[in-house]
This record gives sequence, structure tokens and C-alpha cells, in this order.
Amino acid sequence: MTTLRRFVADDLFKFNNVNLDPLTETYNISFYLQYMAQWPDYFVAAEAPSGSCMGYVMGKAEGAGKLWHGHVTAVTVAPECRRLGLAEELMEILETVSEKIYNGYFVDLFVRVSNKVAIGMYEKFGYSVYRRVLGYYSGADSEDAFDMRKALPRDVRKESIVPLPHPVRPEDLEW
Amino acid sequence: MSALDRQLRPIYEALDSYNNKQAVALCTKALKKGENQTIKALKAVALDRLGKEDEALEICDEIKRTRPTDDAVLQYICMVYKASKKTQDVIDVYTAAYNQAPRNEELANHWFMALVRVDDRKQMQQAAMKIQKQFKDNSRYLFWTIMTIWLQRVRQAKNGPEGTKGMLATLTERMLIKAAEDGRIKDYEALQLYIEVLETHGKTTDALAVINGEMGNLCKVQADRKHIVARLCKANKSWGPLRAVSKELLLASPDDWLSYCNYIEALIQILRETTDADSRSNIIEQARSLFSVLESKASSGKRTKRGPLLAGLELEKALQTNKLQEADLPKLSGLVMEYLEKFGSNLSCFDDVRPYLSLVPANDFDGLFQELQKIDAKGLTIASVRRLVTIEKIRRWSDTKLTADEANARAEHYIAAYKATVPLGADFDERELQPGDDYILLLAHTLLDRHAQKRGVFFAVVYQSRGDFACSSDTAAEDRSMLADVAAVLEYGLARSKFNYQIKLLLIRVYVELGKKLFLDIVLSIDAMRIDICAGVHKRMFDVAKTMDIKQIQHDTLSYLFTDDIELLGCPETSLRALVTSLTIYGSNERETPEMIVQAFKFGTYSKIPEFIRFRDRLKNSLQYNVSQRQLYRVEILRRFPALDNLGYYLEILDENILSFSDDYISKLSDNRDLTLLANWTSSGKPIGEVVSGTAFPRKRDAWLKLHALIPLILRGMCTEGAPLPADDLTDLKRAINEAQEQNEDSEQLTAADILLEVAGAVVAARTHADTSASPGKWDSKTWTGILDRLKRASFHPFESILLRLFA
Repeated sequence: MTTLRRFVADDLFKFNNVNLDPLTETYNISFYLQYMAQWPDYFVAAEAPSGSCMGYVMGKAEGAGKLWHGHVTAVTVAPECRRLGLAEELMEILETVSEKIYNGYFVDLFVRVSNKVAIGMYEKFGYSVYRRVLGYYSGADSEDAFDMRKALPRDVRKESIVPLPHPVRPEDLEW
Repeated sequence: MSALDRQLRPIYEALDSYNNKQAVALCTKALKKGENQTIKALKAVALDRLGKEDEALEICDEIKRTRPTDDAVLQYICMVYKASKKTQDVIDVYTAAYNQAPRNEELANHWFMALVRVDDRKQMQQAAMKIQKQFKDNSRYLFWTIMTIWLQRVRQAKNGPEGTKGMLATLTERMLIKAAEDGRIKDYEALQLYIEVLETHGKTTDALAVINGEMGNLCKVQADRKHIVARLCKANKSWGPLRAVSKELLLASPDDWLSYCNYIEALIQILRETTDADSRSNIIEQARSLFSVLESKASSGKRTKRGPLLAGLELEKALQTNKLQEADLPKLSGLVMEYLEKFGSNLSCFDDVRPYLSLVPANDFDGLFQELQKIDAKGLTIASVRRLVTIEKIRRWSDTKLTADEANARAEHYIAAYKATVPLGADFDERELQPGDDYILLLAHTLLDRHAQKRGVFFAVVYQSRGDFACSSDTAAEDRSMLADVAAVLEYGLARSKFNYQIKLLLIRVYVELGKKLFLDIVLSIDAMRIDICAGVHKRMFDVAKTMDIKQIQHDTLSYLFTDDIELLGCPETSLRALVTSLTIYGSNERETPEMIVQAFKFGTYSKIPEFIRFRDRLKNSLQYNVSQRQLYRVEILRRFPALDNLGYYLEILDENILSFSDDYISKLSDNRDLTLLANWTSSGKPIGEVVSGTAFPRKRDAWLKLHALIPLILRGMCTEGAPLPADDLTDLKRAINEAQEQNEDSEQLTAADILLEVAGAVVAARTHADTSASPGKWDSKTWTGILDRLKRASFHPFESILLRLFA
């Protein structure tokens, strides 16, 4: 009982029940609008029958050559809508967009190495750790990140997800 | 490296490291050796950054007169112009540059974007057409032209002259048809624009032909394409095709709520057109069996989807409300029970079934409510608690008014139930909701109901004793203590669930209400010792608000929850900070959104252009913006008093644009406040914020906005010696007071305004007499005594005390 549709600018006025959750950051106007302007299909809202926002996913396409891929920037679900499989649906949309519209080789995302729940969830969705990025998260809660990937049909031999044996530094990231 | 590069490099480095003084020095030194526009422009940037705006602009104007075409020079001087909001200068320099170098595509783009930033649609169109002619091969400029015409049509859609509207519409459509014929619609965004234009003109059949045709392949996700087909079928009232496409969508995705709604709407319309009873029941059976197929499909996946079962309810409800079928209450009741059985332990379950509860006979829930009585603390699991909470909410929804005893019993039950759940959440991450949190809210709501019932009594006492306010102190104390109880309950829950925003928001509202009452006591001098308690309440309220980390766009949508009435709390410094912070989003909108509209043009995301413009306008014309700004003026006026010079200076610099108060201005404001956020589980649907305050919450602001525009304007007139005090303002104020009275605004606030009206009237009279050097006439001691007398009687409001001191 979810309506999945493009996220629109006016949704910023009504996504509070999602964004008041301590794990979801509220960014400035340009952050959201830039994604909408550049990758309108990659920013998808899940709407409840009452019209309230249940969650959303935002992503982008980047890279070159065999590194051309979809990237998950944020995926979030309102506390009252968790455990309904919504995150997976949102991730599937992002994968569809990466495959059908942008024709990428894989989808990737970054996650804090300490966030076991999220890592377990992404593994269930078919993602695997590709490499560790040292000190990816800076600031007070400085931490390493896992770069997790899921291959798309275009990567026939699943080359993009063969794990790197050694960690990398943020400045070594290609994108 | 050229000689120029050698000069430029250190300047760039200084600017990059924000060493602006050094940058200026380097530029000055380099310019002594010879004239160079790039260096000159960089000097202007550095000066501007140092706060030397005038010098910077002088240099820019000097460069502007030479009609530069160098890209870097143009960018630097435009940075300075933009920082000073001199948008016309930006347009002028780029127009001049483009006219000199019309083949420079980069310049052409800058010129067009400068026009986009100021949203001059006519000029945008002219520019786009010129650029399109110059660079014929690039389809993007063709679509810029089309878009700019379409935007003019959008702007005129509401109140433009019919002829122009029709002309613009036809022009857009023709250009798009031509573009389609020429094969220039080559991406999904262009296709969407084409379809939207056809749709807006009611040409849904044509639009359907486009999306179903070859061009429809530009939409690469099948489901998206079908959703467009469904939208167009609906607009076209093609019910058969709508039902068919919705069915396809549902078979592919059995949780797609929009498609269920479309399917049911189509079905209802088809049934209306079907007269034969057998065919009708046949059609209904088809729907039911489709939904049951979808249900088995949906439960075979990893997670059972709620869609099919809920859609079954929606279908039965639609059949009943449209009188297409005899009411079958047991069936509906059975479906609701089945839903509760399967999904009762989902946090959203109550909200899911809420629209259908009124269709279930009241007694049918009795069995469920029985479950609530026997809570076995040992047998509780997280899932069973969530299910119980869902049923509790249904019970609250079904409650008619509880007696005092019943309410007490209920409150005790909630406390016991909550305590039983505490161990279950002991190991949760602190950012997660505790399983029993909603018991805390149910308890707080029940206590607030009781408080609201009692308040009727308090008010009666207060009202009768206007002249002798103090006699209500006993009841006022009881009123306060009931609110304090609610606060204590919420604090108790918050201690275990530190991030529950529902608890926090309600707590904030309760503290604001409590703070208002305590402050009233202080002003009334009933209990001056309460100042400390009062300050404590404010502090805690602001501390809780701070933990919510309200920022960015939330300043517009959520600030009202803790800034409404903030000016009445008697804590000017903190109020001021809160209001100033909440106003920052409007500056961000002015700075950021135009750039994003530019981005949408750049990336050819045509669907987003009108969308971003609408977004920008909603923030620009925000009701909350106007409210916060007036509150800020109010707090500042109170804060600066009694230093009349300081106050007078402040009143001089008020922004008159935002203090507009015409009906037209106020009716066009956009109310972006998020009113859906605070939970409420009663069937009356009365927002809990209103239960707390006893008045409309958030306040109705129409009359308020007028009053609080006129009050500072009139005060300004009074404080500025020799300034004319427009009699019109007084008439307007009189009118606004009457209007507010009709809308039942707080009487204390209106008394203040009413006294101001009288005082201002006296000032006008005095000034008129002074001008004509006539004798004081009506301006005699009697007038003064009358006013002073009223002021004393009404001294429970801060505004009064100000006026009292101002004119005593």
C-alpha cells in the first residue's frame, strides 16, 4: 500500500516525520534540488494512502568506462513504516533506474563499518563489501566506511564486485 | 608560464585561502605595472569580501563601461554584483557582452541564466529565441524557448487575460508538435513536457497516442510509462482502459496503492454505467477475485504486503458509499479484524485502518478491548506490545466522553501498561523508539482532555472577574498543576526514549502553555516569586526544542511548534534568537533556489523548472515568514523599550514590504506549516495542539497579521516627532480589531491594540492642534485620565505596560 513516485520539491514541506528521525540528516535546499535537477529519476518518494511520506531514496549516476554506476546517496524510512520491506523496494527502484535508464555496471553505497544493522540489511539485498575506505567519515564521529556494491546485468562477469584485498584512502576513490 | 600567469597565480592563491587583504595588495601592485581587467576584477572580489562593497562596486562599474567580453572578467564582476543583489547589472553586462560576441555560446548561456535568476520570462523568451537562431543544431535552445513561453502561460494561468493565455498555450503546443515531427524530442524530460502541455490543454487523447506510440519508448521504465497512461486515462475518463492498465500495474507490483485507487475508481464508474444487475455483480466479483489473486501473490514474497488486504477494504467502502451494493457490515468488520490480525503489530496499523473504523459496528471491537485488560508482563513481546498499542488506539478512537473516574482508571491503566513494557526496550539503541512509547502519549492525551474540560470552568471564573483578576488564583493554580502533570508524564517517557519527536513536540506545546500562564501571573503580580520557575520552564522548553535539531526547510514548516506565542513568554533574548534562526531559511531560498532553477535549465530537466519556481514562491510568500518577522519586531520593540531613541531608530528601519496588510497580500500567503505531525487518535480528529492551548492551534493568522503590521507602523508614527501619523492606518487598525474580534482572537491582545488606537488617536489630535497652534481643545486632561485608567485596568499585558510607561 505504497505509492512510489518521483520526489518533488514540494515534498520537502512534508517529509518531517521521516527527517525528524535522528539517523536522517536534513540538508540545505540546494542539496535536494541539485539531485532533482540532475537525476530526477533517482529521487523517489514512498507515499502512504493518507498522503504522508513513508520514506525516500536519492541517488545519482557517476563514473566512466566500466566504473559507470549508480550510487545510493540516501535511503530512509519513517520509524512507523519500518519492517515492512520498504527500504528494499526503494533500493530496487534505484537499481532499476541504474540499469534501465543509466545503463550502469553496478550500484554502490557507503556505510559506517560500525552500522551492523545496515550492513546486514544491504547484504540481504544482494550487496557485498567491495573495499574498506579509511577515515571516510570525518568530524567528531570519525570512522571507516565499507564501500558495498551490487553488480547489474551489464557487468556480465561480475568484475565490479570482486573484493579489493586492501583498504583505500578517501583520496584514492575514483568518484 | 606567461607574465600574466605569474602575476595571477599568487592572487588566486591568496583568494583561495581567504587572505583577502593580501589579494588586494597584490592586485594593487600588479595594476601599477599596467592596466589589466582580470586583475582589476579580482581586486573588486577581494575588496567585496573585505566588506568594502562600495569600492568593489565602483571598480565593477568602471569595468562594465568598457563592455567586457572576457569570460573570467564577467564572472568576477558578476560575483560582486550578485553579492550586492544588483541583478540588473548582471543582466546588463551579459546582454552587452552577448551583443558583441553573439557566436560565443558560453556567453549566450550566461546571459540567459542571468535572466533566469531574476525570472524575467518575457526577456528569457527573447534571449532563448536569439540563441536558438544562432545555434540551430542544439535542440536544447529550442526547448529553452518552448519552456520560457510555457512559463509565461503558467504565470498567467490564474489571472492573465484569456486571449494571451490561449495564444501562449497554442504557441507552446505548436512548437512541441513541430519538434516532435522533426524528431527533436529525444529524451524523457522533453517527452514529459510535451505530454504535460497536451494534458493541460485537455488533449488527453493526443497525449495517450504519444505515450503509447514510438516516442513513448523514451520512457525506459515500463511501470513509469504505464502510470502515465493511467493518469491520462483518468483525465480522459476512459474507465475501461484505466481499469485494464491498473490491473497490469498491480499484477507486476501488488502493493501499488495508486493503482488500487485508480482501479477502484474505474470500477465504480463502470458500475454506474452498467444497468444490468447480473453484469454488475459479475464486475464486482472480478475485482474481488483479482484482489485475492494479488493477496496470495503478495504473501508469497519475502514480506507479506499490506496492499491487497487494505485495497479490499477500500473496495468495499467505495461500493457502500457509492450505494452500489447493500451495506454488508459483517463483511467489512471481518476485513478490518483480519487486517488487525495480520498487521496489528505494525506501528502504522492504526493509521492504515483508521479510514474504515467508522464502518465497523461499535460492539464488534468489544472482544479486542477485552484483551487490553489482562496484561501479562511476563508474556509480553515487542510484537504483542505493538499489537496492544494498536488496539489501545482503536479504543481511544471509539471512546465517547469519559467520566472523571473512567479517565482516572484509564490513566492508571496506561501507566501500568507502560511500566510493563520498559524491560523489553532496555537493550535498544538509544535512537530507537521504545515499544511502550505510545502509552505515554495516550496517557498525556487523556490528561490533556481532562485539563481541557476543567479549563471551561477556569475561563468562566476569569471572565466574570475581569476587574478583580486575583480571585482566580486558586483555579489558575489548579490549571497549572494539571499541565505540570502532563509535562511530568512526557518527561518520564522522554527519559527512556530520548529521540521520540512525538513526545518532544507535545512537551514543547505543554511548556509553552505553562510558560504563558506563569508569565501572566508575574505580570499580574500574583506571585512574583514565580519568575524563577517561569525562567526554568522557558529554559527547558528551548532545550527540548534544541535537541530536535530543527534546521533548513524545517524552519518554515516546524518552527511554529515552538515559536508560536513565544513573544508572550517574557524571555526576549531567547525568543529573539529562536526567531532570527528560523528566519534564515528565507535568505537561503533567495540565494539557493534561483541557482537550482538555472541547474534545471542546464540539465534540461524541464519538469522541474515550474516545480522549483513553485517551491521558491511558496517559501518567498510563506505565512510563517510573515508571522515570525512580525513576532521578531514585537519582541524587539519590547526589548528596546524604554530607550525611546533606540526604539525610534529601530522602528525607522522596519521592512515595510513584509508589513503589508492588505486582504489581497494576506490571502496570497502560503501556509507551509506541517499540521499533520502531532499524533491524534480520536475520532473527532481535533488536533492535540488545540486541546493543549484551548484555542485554534496553530493560531488563525489573518487578522493577527494585519494587527501586527499596523501596530509597529503606528508606533513608528507616534515615536517619530513631527512625522505624520496617517489617519488611514488608524482606520485600518480599527477594522483589523473588529475582524479579530469576530474571529475570537485573544481578548488581552485586542485590548492592547484597542488602547493603542485610542492613544494614537489622541496623538494625532494633539499634533493636528500643534500644527494649527490652536488651543488643546479635545486634547485635555480628561482624555488622558480615561486612557490611563484603561491602561491600569488592563495592565496584565506587556504591551499595556509599555504604553503606560510611554505616556504616563
